[in-house]
Amino acid sequence: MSSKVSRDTLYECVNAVLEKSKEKKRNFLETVELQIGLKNYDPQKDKRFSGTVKLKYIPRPKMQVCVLGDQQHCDEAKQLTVPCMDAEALKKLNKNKKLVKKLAKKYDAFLASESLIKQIPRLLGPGLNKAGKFPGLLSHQESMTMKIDEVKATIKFQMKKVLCLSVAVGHVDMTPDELAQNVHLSINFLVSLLKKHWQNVRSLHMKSTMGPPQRLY
Amino acid sequence: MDDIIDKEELDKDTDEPTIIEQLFQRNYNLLTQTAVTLKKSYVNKLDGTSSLKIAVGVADNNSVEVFDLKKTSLSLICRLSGHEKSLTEVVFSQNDDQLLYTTGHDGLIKLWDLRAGGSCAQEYKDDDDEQIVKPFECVDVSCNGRVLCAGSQLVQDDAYLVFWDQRKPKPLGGYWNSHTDDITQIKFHKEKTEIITTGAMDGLLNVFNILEQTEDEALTFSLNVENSIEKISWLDATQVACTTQSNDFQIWNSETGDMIRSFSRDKVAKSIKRSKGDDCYLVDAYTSVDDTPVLLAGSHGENGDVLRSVTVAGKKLQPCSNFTQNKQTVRCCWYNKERDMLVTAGESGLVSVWSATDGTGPETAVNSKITGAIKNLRVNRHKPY
Repeated sequence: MSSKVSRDTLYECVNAVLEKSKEKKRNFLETVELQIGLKNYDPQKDKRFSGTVKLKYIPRPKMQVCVLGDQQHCDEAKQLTVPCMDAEALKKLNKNKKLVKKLAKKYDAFLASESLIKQIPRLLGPGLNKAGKFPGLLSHQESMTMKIDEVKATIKFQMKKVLCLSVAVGHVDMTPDELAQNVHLSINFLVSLLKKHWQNVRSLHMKSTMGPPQRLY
Repeated sequence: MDDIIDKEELDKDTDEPTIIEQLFQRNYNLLTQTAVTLKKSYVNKLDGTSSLKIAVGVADNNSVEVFDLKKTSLSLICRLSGHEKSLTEVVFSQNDDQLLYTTGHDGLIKLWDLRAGGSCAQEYKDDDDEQIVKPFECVDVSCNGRVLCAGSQLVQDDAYLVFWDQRKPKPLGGYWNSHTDDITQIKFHKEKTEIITTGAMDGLLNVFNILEQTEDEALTFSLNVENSIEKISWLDATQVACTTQSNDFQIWNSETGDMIRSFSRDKVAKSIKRSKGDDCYLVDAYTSVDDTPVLLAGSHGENGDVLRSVTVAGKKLQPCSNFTQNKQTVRCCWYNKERDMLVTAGESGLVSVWSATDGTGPETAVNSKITGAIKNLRVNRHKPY
């Protein structure tokens, strides 16, 4: 067992990122991202990897999720003041590309009831696919608020053709503990995706949108 | 909170060797094995025909090697090279075992005729726009061999599915609204020429009916796998299996749009009796000779030699076979149901042919002959005259 990023280093970086952003306040909520450099990996021939992980604290609190629900889900959504649409409302869009595009633009993500999710291509065409916002499944067995938070808290790691990737893990209004926990979880998950685990990690940095990068590893 | 540590814990069997042997009962023997080149090359793609021609794509030099499996040996028929960038798919025509399609990042689909000593018989290209090369990640051919479909990487915000009539180099048309990232897999239905499934990095498994006039109408289902898709395979007329790039396994019904089963990486690791989920990798799924879905999985741990298979039995994965003679990280496989034969290839450049013994294989047959002979000997000894 060898320590890769000590607790102290992690907190040093987290605090540095948060302090730098306090020094110079921006007009928007800065996102904090984790940047990863890889080694011993050939994007040409090694298997590609990607994966999603649910963080403990929501990195993008402003995310708007819309529920495409059956009667029961729509009633529930209205009670919770969550934006929602039923099959009738979707039918009214009449597969009109512009309207579907507008709908897709309005929200960051969608959830749909089981009966509706299968009809999405029939009702809307590929519009939501094109926007990269095809809904996730919302079942009646799980709580709607929890599912929405899960969508907001889920991040995706995906490597493109170059040996580095970055992912949003939090924002500068988080407490050091919250941010540190998110970073901790993200790093452990990333390492699990890599074939040779830590032997594939060249470097780890974290930075806020406008701040300087801090080296973790 | 603790330090972020490298656990360095080793992946190992969760049971004793004897128990493992009992659990993985279905035996496959290594019939023959050959290395594609002397250099350590990766083999990423593999396909075969019912006449036992086997084509493998070699990642290092973007060439294809075609073998003939005769009795117990693989003999090289020809080596095909011509793709200037990464080779991404190798697939035989469904109705002529002498025809082979390949594609790659150079944006070309090449048709090779093995009769003509491996010459390129046709090139298919989407040259609607000369400026944009569409690097293809995958290609497949319909069950009647007439229609070709290739899937591209994301090019200027569009990921394309392009269709060709097998007889013409110019495309019939394409879809580009249903995926938002690199299209990694295309699989035509095994009996219906019009049904096709596609999978992409965006985590969607789409089902199309390509007889419809427009893409909007053709898109029958979008199945949200929620993870980038690595491989798709048709298990039967309705069920589609997929493995993801985070090594999860799912089975969907292509006619109702329902998810039938979902197994996480940890669950697969457990079912192949390995201790560390993070080292488990999935190869592909196929339907075995007794019509059960089989998932082939391995482990990067130890020497990376562990290769096992499990069958899907209801909500569970049951141990099936243990390929103890495997010597590499396997990247692709091809299964021949008629002969109950599996071909695997992978990161050490080895092509391995596995054949079922099932207790009645050649070895046991030999054994019974010998014991029979010994019996005869004994009998003869008692009757010397």
